[in-house]
Amino acid sequence: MSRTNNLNITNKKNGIDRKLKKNLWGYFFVLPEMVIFLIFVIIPILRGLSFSFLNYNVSGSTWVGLQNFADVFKDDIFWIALKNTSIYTVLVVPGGVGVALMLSWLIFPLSPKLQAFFKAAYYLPGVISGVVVALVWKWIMDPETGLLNYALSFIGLGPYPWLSHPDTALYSLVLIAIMGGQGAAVIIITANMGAIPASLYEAARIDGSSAWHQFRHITLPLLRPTLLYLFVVGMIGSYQVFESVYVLTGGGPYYSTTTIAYLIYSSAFDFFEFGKASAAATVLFVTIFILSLIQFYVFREDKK
Amino acid sequence: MMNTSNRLQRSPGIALAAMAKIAVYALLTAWALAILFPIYWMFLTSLKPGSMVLDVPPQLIPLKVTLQNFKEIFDTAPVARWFLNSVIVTVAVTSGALISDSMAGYTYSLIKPTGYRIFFFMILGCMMIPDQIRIVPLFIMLKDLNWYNTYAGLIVPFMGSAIGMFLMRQYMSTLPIELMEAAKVEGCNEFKIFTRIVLPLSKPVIAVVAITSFVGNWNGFLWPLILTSSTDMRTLPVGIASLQVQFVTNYGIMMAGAAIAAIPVILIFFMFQKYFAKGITLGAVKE
Repeated sequence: MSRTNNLNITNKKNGIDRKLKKNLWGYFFVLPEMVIFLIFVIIPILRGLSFSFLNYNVSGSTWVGLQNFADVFKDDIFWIALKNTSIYTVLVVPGGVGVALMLSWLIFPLSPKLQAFFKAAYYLPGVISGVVVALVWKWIMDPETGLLNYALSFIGLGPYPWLSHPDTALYSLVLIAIMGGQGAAVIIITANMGAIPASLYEAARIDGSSAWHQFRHITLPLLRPTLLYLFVVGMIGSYQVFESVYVLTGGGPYYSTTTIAYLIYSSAFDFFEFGKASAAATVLFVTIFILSLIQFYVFREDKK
Repeated sequence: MMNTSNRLQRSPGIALAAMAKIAVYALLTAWALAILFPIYWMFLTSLKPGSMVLDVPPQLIPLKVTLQNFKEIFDTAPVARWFLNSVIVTVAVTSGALISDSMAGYTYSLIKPTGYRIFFFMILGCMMIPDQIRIVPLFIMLKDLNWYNTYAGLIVPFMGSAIGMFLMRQYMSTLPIELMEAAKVEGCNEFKIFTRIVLPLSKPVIAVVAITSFVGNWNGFLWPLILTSSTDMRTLPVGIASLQVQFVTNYGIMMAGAAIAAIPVILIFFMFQKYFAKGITLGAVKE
């Protein structure tokens, strides 16, 4: 009796020891990542949120309540930037996903070798730095010596001052973004197309449905989660568009390409308005968060 | 496969089917040419003699090739130093991230200590939050640490990546747990299991994370722009962007600078192509 009891206790103790040991090892292995994230990501995020309510000063910050937000919302340029960023996103994300979807649909039936070839070609521009890509487009879109206006002159168009006119600058940035190749989206879409059971298409074929019909009623609905992913990730990225603006237009002409991310950067590092920049960043964060939720909602509802 | 052959058979007649096929290839090739042309144009311009860059009509094929633009940019701007900075920062960040991401990935996939989900989702959640919210606080913090405009400031804060950690976890959860249990029975501790079993088995995902991290950091712009002040501390993207002021529309030289920043990642792309596709699908395809 007492012997089995003892054994039970030691077993239990061993179990607790093992659990403790396991936990300690587990925490040990996450330690480097957690330290980096805590110090350089999580704390700065929290401080960034709190700066929104402070008048930051090296010698001591003062609490100003919602004053920074009032400053942001009173600023006409903020609303222009929000409008520009939204136009940019509404064109770049659906435009890019649309192009990628079409390319994927055309590529998918090809032989694996050809598929791999086109995917590699479409992905290549995506590995090159946004700064490099922007500089090349600056040269192509140069109003006097650029190749684009030269090419258009043959069909009697132009010359257009692509990046230096308020009517065209933002749309030039949209064009450059979509011309990024869409390789990553094509790779994701075709991979998910491969997961659609072939039997569905066979059944549809027996019913005599057209290729378009199959695309509309099998491919598209089953790709919904993939498209949701691409829309959300694309939206998050494009609401933060910065590099092409910084390199190509500096937000101009006449604020026509000032995006929220560029405005935040310039109020922080051109004007040193840290509180206002942080408040604008908080607004950007909330905007992105709400837009993500809306997209989840829209895509989920349609599922029925 | 069956899908298209069917699509084509449906068209009335073989001629039409062939035409449809040609149209598909034409469209796919046209897009490839359109998006690759800027890269070709960059290299072509960078190799032209300065006097030919602005020729009308523009030369679309290399008639006269020279390295004059490259020589000039190395002579007039500290491009070599920027290149070195980019190498140092990228290699250090990637190595650090590989260590912290793989270790964290091991915890989240195989050890799973009490409460690990909180850490896991906290790190993943950070991906949803725009960088702009951190630019002011991180800038101030690094100034306070005297890390502003130093290698440490460009490296240490970025030695861990949520995506890298996530990819590691995804891959490691597919490893056979029996192997690790057997090792435990034989008296290996977790550290030995990690270094002797898990890491060697995770080579494919380590390659994926290494390459995506390398390319991402090589191309990084916002942080080095904010966290450096002297010309000598710039990385290549920040450096060549700043050359615009100096060379304005001297496109031959500008394209040489752009090419220098682009060549390493293009080479890496051609050498490790399969890992790029793997990295994208590992993160975004449900299996």
